Amino acid sequence: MPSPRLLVVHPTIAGESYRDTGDQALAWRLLAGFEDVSWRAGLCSSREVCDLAAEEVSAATLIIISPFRCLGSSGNQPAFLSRVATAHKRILASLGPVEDPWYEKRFTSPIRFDAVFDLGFVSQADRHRVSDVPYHFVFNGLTSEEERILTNLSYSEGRCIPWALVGDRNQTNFDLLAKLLEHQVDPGGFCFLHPRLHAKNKAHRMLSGLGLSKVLSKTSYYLWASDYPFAYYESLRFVYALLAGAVPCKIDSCYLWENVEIPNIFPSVRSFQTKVQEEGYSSMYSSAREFYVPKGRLAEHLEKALHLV
Amino acid sequence: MSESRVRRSAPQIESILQSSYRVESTLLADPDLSKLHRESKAEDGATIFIPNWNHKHYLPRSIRSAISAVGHLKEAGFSAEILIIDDASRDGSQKFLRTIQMLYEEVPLNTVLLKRNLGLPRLRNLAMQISRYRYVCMMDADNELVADNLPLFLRSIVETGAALVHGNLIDKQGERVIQLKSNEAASMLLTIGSRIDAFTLVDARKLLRVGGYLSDPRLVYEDWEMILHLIAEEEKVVFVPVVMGHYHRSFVLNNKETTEKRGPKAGAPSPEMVALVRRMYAQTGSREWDTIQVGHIYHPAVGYIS
Repeated sequence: MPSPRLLVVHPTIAGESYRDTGDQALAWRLLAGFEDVSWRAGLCSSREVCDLAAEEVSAATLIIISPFRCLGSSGNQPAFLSRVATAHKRILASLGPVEDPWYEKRFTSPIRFDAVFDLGFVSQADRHRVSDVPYHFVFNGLTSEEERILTNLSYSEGRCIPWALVGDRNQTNFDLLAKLLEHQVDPGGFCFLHPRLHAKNKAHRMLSGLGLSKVLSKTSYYLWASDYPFAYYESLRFVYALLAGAVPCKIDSCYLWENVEIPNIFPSVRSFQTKVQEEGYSSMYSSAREFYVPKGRLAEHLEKALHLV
Repeated sequence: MSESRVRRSAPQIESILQSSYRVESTLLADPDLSKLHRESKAEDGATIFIPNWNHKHYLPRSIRSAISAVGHLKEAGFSAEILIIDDASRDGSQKFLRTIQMLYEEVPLNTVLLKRNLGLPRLRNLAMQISRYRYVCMMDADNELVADNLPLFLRSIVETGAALVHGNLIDKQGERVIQLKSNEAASMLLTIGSRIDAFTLVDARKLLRVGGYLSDPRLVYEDWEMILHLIAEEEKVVFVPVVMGHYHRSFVLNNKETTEKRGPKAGAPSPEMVALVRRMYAQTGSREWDTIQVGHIYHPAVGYIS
């Protein structure tokens, strides 16, 4: 079998569905994006990288997710590093704020990256401080499969859960939940706040992707407070909501989002509630869709970025 | 943890294990209480049970929320009653409850004023024995129901056939949210700590069938033990990811008499308690056992959620 030209390298996680662990969404999303532009692409666990023939690796560009986790789960760190070093190119895939200490820490791994692809809705180029690794913003657009789902979605039916709040069990989310009840937004919302756990145990106690999708398909508004103490927009939350027919709504009282065109970002629960009363579900959902769909498919953005590396 | 280590750290364990604190037949030997006993229970509604022991100042809030919940249950097509049992309080609660009973004649509110203190586990067992309805919402006097959501929990327990359903509890001190309780599906992590509060909706018939709450002065966390007991009896414990209510922390812990009757109840169970529970429900001692999810997640609009 000929080796794929692009290999999305992810940490090896034994005994679990990879789709339901921390880095899964990004790996599968990238693969779908590359396949949409007919790039020869494949997924490869860090353990599998060690078993690849040298000539296979040297012909491939590796898109690496979570380098330290890849290294730690490879089973043979010297073999993993030597294979990775011989690849045609090594690109770090990132989905998170560049101010997060973990962002820069990933560049301290023994892997020398040729570029970083930052998937999201807003470029963070001005905050990327790793001068020897070029930064490329990749708009986190739709995959062709998601485009098909969105086209067939009848989004006004059967929404009996007024809102859903799913995330970490932390003070920010407690406060958001308390405000939702205090401001007499319908108290019958879905609330699943799980403890912060190590990746190994996390999947057991989080909602699976499928579980979240089932919930959101009955939900009017998917709410979240900022997942980070930085001005960062969680693009995957937006995508999951839209695909399930829920309105993605970020409540962020810490940062101003005035110059960003992403709809439905609110400084408070009160302002969210006002918008709901004034506009309602259909209008808010349409504005989210109208922002997102014209931005183009993920495949196009990935292709552009790859040509720059 | 080995059996011998347990014996050394908690010498009382064996006697507890050998004791048979089964359901409260003695409670109903009291002629005043036996006439309240209901063998057959209506299935089309819920009893909201508030135990009270010297919590007069908290009662208005819990009762108000229960009255509101009765209204919401009726709107959703269910019947309901509020059952308040005063456990021989000495803070004037009885007078207050008599006044409430008169003020709210139109509300299905029943109060039972005990002459001698039974303690919380026996009070809960008594409530399940005398409740009009099969499904009983177990509150504490300082809890507050999110009234709109009780119909969701009632639907969930009926649709899943669970013995117990629980939902998110917002733990507040004053206006500040301290934490969230009861907010995940039951796992065997329960064998190392109490994670689901007593504020739940239970199927009284099922709980009584397995012996009710364990009323033992040495076992301080009868609600914790009950969840593990239900799991061991292969009864279903279901988390409904909706807010069930508020858990209001008092600034002064009012547990002097409780302490005398039942031993110290600190914020977390003592090592001896944990050893006892693990001896009863996690005898392999394997930590892998802890992460096994044994509860379910369910929402009436969605069904079971993985």
